Amino acid sequence: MKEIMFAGIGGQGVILSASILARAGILKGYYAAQSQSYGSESRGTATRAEVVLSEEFVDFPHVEHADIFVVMAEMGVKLFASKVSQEAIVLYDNSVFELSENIGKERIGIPATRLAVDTFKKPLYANIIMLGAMMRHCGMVGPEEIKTVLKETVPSKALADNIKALELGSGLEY
Amino acid sequence: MGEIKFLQGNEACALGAMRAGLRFFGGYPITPSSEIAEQCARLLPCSGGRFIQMEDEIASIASIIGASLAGSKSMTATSGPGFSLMQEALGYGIMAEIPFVVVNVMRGGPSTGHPTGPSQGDIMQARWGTHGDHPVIALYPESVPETYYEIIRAFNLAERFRQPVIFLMDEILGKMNESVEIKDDISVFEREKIQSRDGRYRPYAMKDDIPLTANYGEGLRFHVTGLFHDETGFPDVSGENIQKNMDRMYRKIENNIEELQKWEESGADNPEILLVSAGTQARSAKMACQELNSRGISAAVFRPVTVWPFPEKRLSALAARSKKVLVVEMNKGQLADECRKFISDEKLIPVNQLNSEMISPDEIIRQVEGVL
Repeated sequence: MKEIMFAGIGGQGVILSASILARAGILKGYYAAQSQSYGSESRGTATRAEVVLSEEFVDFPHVEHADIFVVMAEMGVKLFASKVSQEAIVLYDNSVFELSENIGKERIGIPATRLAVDTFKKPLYANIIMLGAMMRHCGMVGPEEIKTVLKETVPSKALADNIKALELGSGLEY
Repeated sequence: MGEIKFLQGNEACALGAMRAGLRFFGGYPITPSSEIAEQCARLLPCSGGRFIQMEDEIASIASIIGASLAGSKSMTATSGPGFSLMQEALGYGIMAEIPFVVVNVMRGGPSTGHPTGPSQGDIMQARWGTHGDHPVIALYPESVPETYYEIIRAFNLAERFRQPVIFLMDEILGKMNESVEIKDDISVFEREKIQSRDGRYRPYAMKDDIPLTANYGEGLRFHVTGLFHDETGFPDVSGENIQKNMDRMYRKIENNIEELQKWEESGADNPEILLVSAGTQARSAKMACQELNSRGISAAVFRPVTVWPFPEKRLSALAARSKKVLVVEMNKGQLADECRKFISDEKLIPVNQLNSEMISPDEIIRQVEGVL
């Protein structure tokens, strides 16, 4: 079983990333539960999305001790650090903020927003770049499953850019 | 094995309702239930049904009462503020014995409260929200797969007992996504068709305390009222008739309690510590229970799936054998208050939290350790 938590600010697409990961997990034959918390305003407030992937039905559907924490805004670190395991891999967008907290076991900066702006001229795909980086560390789903889900999820004209963003994230050297 | 789908709780509610034979949805969207209306708006027109977005929740429940009287399996979905508005017509449905399903995806209240946060604050509103003495059927699943199958049961019970059924969910359940196995083998109860017969038609003539009222539009004319009425459907507010019908409406539920009630027990047999919890919160209690069991502590979880009528008899027997009973809920102790009717204050420990978060397994374990 793996617990993965995504955090950011409403509008950054963290719930979409979590949903894509969970659906990819289903394609692999895993049980998946995905939930989220968000503010009434929907955009601009702290957002958390959680995925539990497991061989079988899991009683508790929330993340209590994240194995992987993907965080795209500093606000997310402050609010949700208590749900991150001491053994966790923390992937954070270091083009948005510098991680000062000593959370998890390994902390990896992914300049997702800068890469998205440089490549696509807009920050829109930063969440998929982060998803690509996450995929490498999760080990439970591969690019094929995620691409299949992307085909079902994103508008066809945006598919090529989404796949490019995924590969950008998974192919980063660090 | 059936097909595995990845569904949101609200989506599973709508899909399950369709599977049960839903033909009419009248509603007014409200967070965190809106996807139920959204899905019904998409699915119903494609399958010969009707979806109407009404001007408010009062009109919404009135519309499903009308649709049900005309023979359509009907549903509305809302959250706390809308459920409050529906209470008067819910009472009408109970009094006139009209089958329909009202879904309440519970959020933080009172008033507008916290639209995007979970709560179990409407457990008692489901029981006593509408005025006057009345029997109530309310179900509350814990997971997305259970939502799919329990909403089918909700429709079956509504149609079988000619009674509105309240289907409780919570924000976590409505908004979360989870794997669901769609099984082929389900049973759906169809309302008996009442044919024209000789003499004056009596819409409230009873069979085993349940009225067999015809569908409007199929040839029989009759009167439906929220006043106490006799078998003809016309008002009769004599003391004798009121007493007789109140007794019968309660008997309709009490005599079929085994068919109506459903609960789940997990963990140790004859536990020292009994955790009582419903809905998504019970999943946290079960995880806490597993951890307690692994530490050698004798604990079990009792989860009512049918919340009303409350499974008092079984819980009472389990509680009698336990040292402590912790009632874990995201409210100020509504199920705990119900349990106080048959569990002593020395034994009963309410565990409550109102911060828009499910009470975590760790917190439940801490509470248990505190009473050992």
